[in-house]
Amino acid sequence: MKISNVEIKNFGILHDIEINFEADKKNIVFLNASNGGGKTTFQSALAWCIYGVKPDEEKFLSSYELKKIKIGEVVKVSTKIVLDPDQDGRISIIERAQNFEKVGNSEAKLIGNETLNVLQRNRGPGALTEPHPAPAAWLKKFFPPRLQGFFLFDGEQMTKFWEQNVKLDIESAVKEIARVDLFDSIKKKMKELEQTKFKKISKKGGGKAELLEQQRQEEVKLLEIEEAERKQTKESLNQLREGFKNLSRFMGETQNHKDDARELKSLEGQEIRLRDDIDRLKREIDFLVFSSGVVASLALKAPELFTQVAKAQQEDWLPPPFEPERVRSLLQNKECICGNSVHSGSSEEKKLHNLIERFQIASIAGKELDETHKQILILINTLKSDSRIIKEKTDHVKSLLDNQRTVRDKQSEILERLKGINANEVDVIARNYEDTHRKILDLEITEKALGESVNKRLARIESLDASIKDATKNDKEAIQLGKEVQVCKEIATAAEKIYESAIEQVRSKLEKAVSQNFDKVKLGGFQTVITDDFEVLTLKDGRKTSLSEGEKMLKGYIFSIALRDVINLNLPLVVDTPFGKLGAGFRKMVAEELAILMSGKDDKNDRQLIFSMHDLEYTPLERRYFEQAKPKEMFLANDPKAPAEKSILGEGIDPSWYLEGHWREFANAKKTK
Amino acid sequence: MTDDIELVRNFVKESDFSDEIKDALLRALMLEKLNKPETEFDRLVKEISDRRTDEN
Repeated sequence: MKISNVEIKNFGILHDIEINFEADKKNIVFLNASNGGGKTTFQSALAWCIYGVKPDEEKFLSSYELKKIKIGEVVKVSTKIVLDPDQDGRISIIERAQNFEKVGNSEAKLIGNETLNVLQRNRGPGALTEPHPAPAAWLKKFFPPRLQGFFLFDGEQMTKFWEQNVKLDIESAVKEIARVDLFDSIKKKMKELEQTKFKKISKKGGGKAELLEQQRQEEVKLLEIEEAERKQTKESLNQLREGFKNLSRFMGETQNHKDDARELKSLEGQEIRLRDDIDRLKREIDFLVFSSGVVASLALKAPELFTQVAKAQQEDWLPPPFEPERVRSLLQNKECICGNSVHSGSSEEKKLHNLIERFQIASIAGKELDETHKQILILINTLKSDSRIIKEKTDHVKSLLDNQRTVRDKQSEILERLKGINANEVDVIARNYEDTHRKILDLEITEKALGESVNKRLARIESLDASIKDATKNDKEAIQLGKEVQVCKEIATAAEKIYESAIEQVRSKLEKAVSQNFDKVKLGGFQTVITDDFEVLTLKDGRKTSLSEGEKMLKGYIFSIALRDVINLNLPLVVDTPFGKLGAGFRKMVAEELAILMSGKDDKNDRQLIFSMHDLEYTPLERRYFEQAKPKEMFLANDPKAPAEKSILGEGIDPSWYLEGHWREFANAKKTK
Repeated sequence: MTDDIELVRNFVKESDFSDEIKDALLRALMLEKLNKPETEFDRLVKEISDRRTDEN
C-alpha cells in the first residue's frame, strides 16, 4: 500500500497543497520543513482523513482562507489521500471534508457533519470509479485505529518505544491483529444469556428456586471479583517472575560478588563499631590515668608516713590509749586509780598534769597520723584498683585494635576482588533479589488461596445449579432452559480458549518477524522475545541484553515494519521528526538500515516511508545515508506572501536552508568543486 | 490483510473443539460481526440445544 497523492485544502497552515509522492518510483519520501512550516499539520491532516482525529479548533480551518471570505460565507476544509496501490492492488481515494461558516472577523463555526468518501477503481485505463458503500468500515479494516501509533507517529517517541508503556500499545496491536475482540464479545454475550436463562429456570421452580438463584447470582458476582483479582495477581506474579529471572541471572553471575558485597557491608559495620568502642575505651583510660595521677602523687609520701606510723605504733601512741578526761576526774577526786591520795601541788599531781598535757599533744598528732594513714591506705587500694582497670582496658583496646586491623585487612582484600564493581549496587540488587523472592512467595500464596476460593465457588455454583435444576426437574421448559445454559457455557468456554490461542499465535508470529528483521540489521545472534505480558525483550545467548539508544530506535522501526508483515497490511510509515534527539552516530545506523529495509532488497518493494524533518535533522550527512535508496525530496515552507498563515510546497531542498549551517557549507563546498 | 473474519474463522477451524461447538462459534462470529441483537444469539443457542435433544 502506498500513498501516491495527498491534496489538502484549507487545513491549518496547509491552505492549498497537492503532493505527488511518485509512489510508483520512490519508496522513501522526505517532506521536510523548518519549524512552523507544516510538518505536524501534514500528519494531522492525514490523521483526520484516515482516523477522523479532529485537530484542535484553532488549527483546523485555515486562518488565511478565513481572512479571505466574507461573514456568512461557507468554506470547505478537506483532505484527499490517493492510495495507489491500495491493499487490494486497486486505487482508493479517501476524502474527508468539513464545512465551516464565517461568523466573525476571525471566527468560524462548523456547519453540519463531516463527510467521508472512499472511491475505488481498478488500475489501468478506462476503469470505472465507484464509491465504497461503507467507507468508515473500509477504513477501519485497512487502517485499524489501534495500529495508528505504528503508522503515523512522532519520531521523538521512538527512543521510548521499548519502555513499559509500549507494552499496552503492543498488546493492543496484537489483539487488533488477532481480532480477538470478537471472541471476547461472544464470551460476554453467552455469559449474559446464561444468566438470563438461569433466572427463567429459577422462576419455574417457585420461591425456593428463586432464593437459590439469588444465592447463585451473589456467588457469580463474587466469582467475577475473585477471578479478576486472581488475574491481577497472576499478572503481577508474571512481572515479578520476569524481573526475578533477570535478577537471578545477575545474581548467578555475581554470586561471589554478592557474598563479597555482603561481607564488605558487614565489615563496614564491624569497623564502625570497633572504632566507637576503641574511642570510648581510650577516653575512659585517659580519665582514669588523670585521676590516678593525683592519687599517685599523694601516695609518693606513703613510705615516710608508714615509718612514722610504725614508730608511733612502737611507742604505743597510735592510736593513743590514754583517756585525759578520766585522769582529770581522778585529779578532781584527789585519788589515784592505785588508791593513793593525790594532793594539790604534790609531785604526783604535777606528773599527772604533765602526762595529760603530753598525751593530749600525742593524741592530736596520733589521730591525724592514724587518719592520714587510713586514707593513704584507701588511696593506695584505689590506685591499685585503677591500675588494674587501666590495664584491663588497655588490654581490651589492644585486642580491639587487633580486630580492627583484621577487619581492615579483610576489607582491603575484598575491595581488591571487587575492583571495578560497585559493591553498593551489588548489595542493592542482592537485597532486591531477596525482596522480590519474598514478594513472589507471598503472591504465590495469595494466588493459590484465590485459586482454591475460585474452585470452591465454582463448586458452590455448580451445586446451586443442580439444586435449581432439581427444584425444577418436573418442569419441561426449565429442563430445556438447562440444556440451553449448557450450550451457552460451552460456546463461552470455546470463545475464551480461542481468544487466548489467537493472541498466542499472533504474539509468536510477531516475535519471529521482529527477530528475523532485527537479525538482518544487527548480526550477532540476537533474539527477540515478546513475553506473555507483551514486553519485547532482546536476548543474546539466552540472556536479556540492553540496546543503545540508536539500536532501540532501530528496533522500534523494525517492530513497526514487522507488524506490517505479520498482519500482511502494508501501511506506509509516516514519521514526523524521525530521528528526534538521536546522536549523529546512531542516525547513520538507523538511516542506513531503514534505507535497506525500504529499498526492496529484502524482497519487499511495496513499502513506503514518509519522513518529515527540519534542517537540523536532515543535513547533507543524513541525505548521504539514504543516497542509495534514491529518495524523493520535497519541502514545505512559509509562503513569503503570508508567512504565518500559509505554506507552499517545493521540490528538493528548501532554498533558505542553503543560507546557513550545514547546508550553506554544503553549497559552498559544491561551488568550490 | 487477510479478511478479518477469515482470520478469526481460521482460529476457530484450527481449534480442538467439537464440530458442533466450532460451527456454533463460527455462526456466533458472523452474528457478532453483523451486530445482530441478543435474540439472534439466543436463537442459535436454542437451535443447538434442540438439535442435541433430537439426536438423543
